[in-house]
Amino acid sequence: MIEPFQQPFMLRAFAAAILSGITLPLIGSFLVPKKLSLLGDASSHFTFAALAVAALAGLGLFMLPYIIPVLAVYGILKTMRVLKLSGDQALAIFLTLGAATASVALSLGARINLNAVLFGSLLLVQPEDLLASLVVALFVAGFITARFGSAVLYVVNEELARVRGVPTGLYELFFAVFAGLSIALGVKIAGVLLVTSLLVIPPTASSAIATSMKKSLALAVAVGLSSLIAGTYASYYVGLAPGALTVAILLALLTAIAAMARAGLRI
Amino acid sequence: MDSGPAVELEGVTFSYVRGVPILRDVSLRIERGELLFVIGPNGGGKSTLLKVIVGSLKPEKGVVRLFGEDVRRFRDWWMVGCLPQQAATFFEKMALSVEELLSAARGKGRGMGLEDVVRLVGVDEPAELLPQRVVDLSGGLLQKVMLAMVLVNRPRLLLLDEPTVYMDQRGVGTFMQILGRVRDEWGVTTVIATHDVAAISTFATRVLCINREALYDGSIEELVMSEQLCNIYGFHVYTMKHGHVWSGK
Repeated sequence: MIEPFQQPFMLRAFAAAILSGITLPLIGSFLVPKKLSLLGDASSHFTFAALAVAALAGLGLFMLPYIIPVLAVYGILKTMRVLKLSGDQALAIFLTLGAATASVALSLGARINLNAVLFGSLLLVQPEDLLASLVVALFVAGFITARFGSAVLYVVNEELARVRGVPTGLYELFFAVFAGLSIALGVKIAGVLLVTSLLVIPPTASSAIATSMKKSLALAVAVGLSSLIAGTYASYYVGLAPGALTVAILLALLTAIAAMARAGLRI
Repeated sequence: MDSGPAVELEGVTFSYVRGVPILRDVSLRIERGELLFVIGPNGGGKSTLLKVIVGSLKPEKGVVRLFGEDVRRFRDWWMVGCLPQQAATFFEKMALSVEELLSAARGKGRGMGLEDVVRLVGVDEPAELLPQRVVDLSGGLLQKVMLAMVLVNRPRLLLLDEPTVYMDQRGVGTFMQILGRVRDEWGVTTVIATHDVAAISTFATRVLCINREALYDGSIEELVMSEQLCNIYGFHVYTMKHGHVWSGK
């Protein structure tokens, strides 16, 4: 039972799972009402593109996989506002742009571990990723605690938030930076294709039965955290990708919570 | 800051598309405590005018002042209660409670108690309403919560965009009664944009008719007597003062 905890790479994976299990559902709880559910998909395709281009050019990765998704999220929010596009339009544009860039780099001969990038791998988690995850988790949790009301208004409607004195430009930047960073870190565990599930499924499940935003945030974190830890643990024994196992557990929890909601249960 | 108009626009021009101004050279002065209705056809620039007043849209020409301060430098946002059009539709897919929404709208360290403001807008059992989710509210209660949201800071200026759009005549009456009370007690300047001329005909004092330009600014009685409504709406408007029904063809 405790064998996975004796392996250093598994300990790193568990630590990453705990930190992402807090950050991604928290960020997702603010993205889903803003109709940006697929933001994880769009910006993780930019991570994919960055990895492929860096491999092709023979560059060291350094900060690239962190910077590129942040720029992508900021680009998406900016495009929505300036060109007056809906969230899904902007996401579709950025998702295809990232995927096309990655495809070009791959067909030009970039060599990357596609399986790990697309579906996640525990072996990808490095100590510096954990440090970055910890900083991001502290900032996100701290910001939401300290500025809960303003963050709620920003998500509800930017115009409404602006006339309440919320600096919406700054909030946009904050969301871009921390959503981009947490997605980049989540890609290591869940992969480009599955990271969205950690952003979207926990808040979708929790908002079905929670009677307040605060309860919904707490339940979303509980759902995300338990799925990631269980998925990571199970992956050690069954030898399957932790991302896929986590998604299976998330979907099971979503089904159970949706059934409770239909039965009239509220928390 | 204690004297002078609440809102002042000087020669304001705004366009969404270059060369096609939706507001052209609009000048307007709204005194403190005044009640102003902004009417005009769809696309005439009512919502745009309200957005320009709060600085959400930046005019290409002209100046906007709130309580004597250029809106670009205005910081006392607690003084302004602004309800955008269809605000009630903003809350989908969120488990936000009424209490959380009103707390978020309330400035730090100021404003009314949440139970007080909910009671002010005509809810008899505040303790029952506050823990409910905003998405689960009926249309009528949601309208009251929206009004509570803009009143919670005891604002000095209210800007309401089509607030009565889903209300029946009785709802409008109650709504206007509440606004009348806060105007009397707090001296709130109130600006209401509406296309629903019927709903307001009994309450309006000063009316601004807008269709890209400010076409009429004065009392509703004179407006009804004049030919101005035809020019503004582009068709003949019949009015039935006693039934509160206006229709046009």
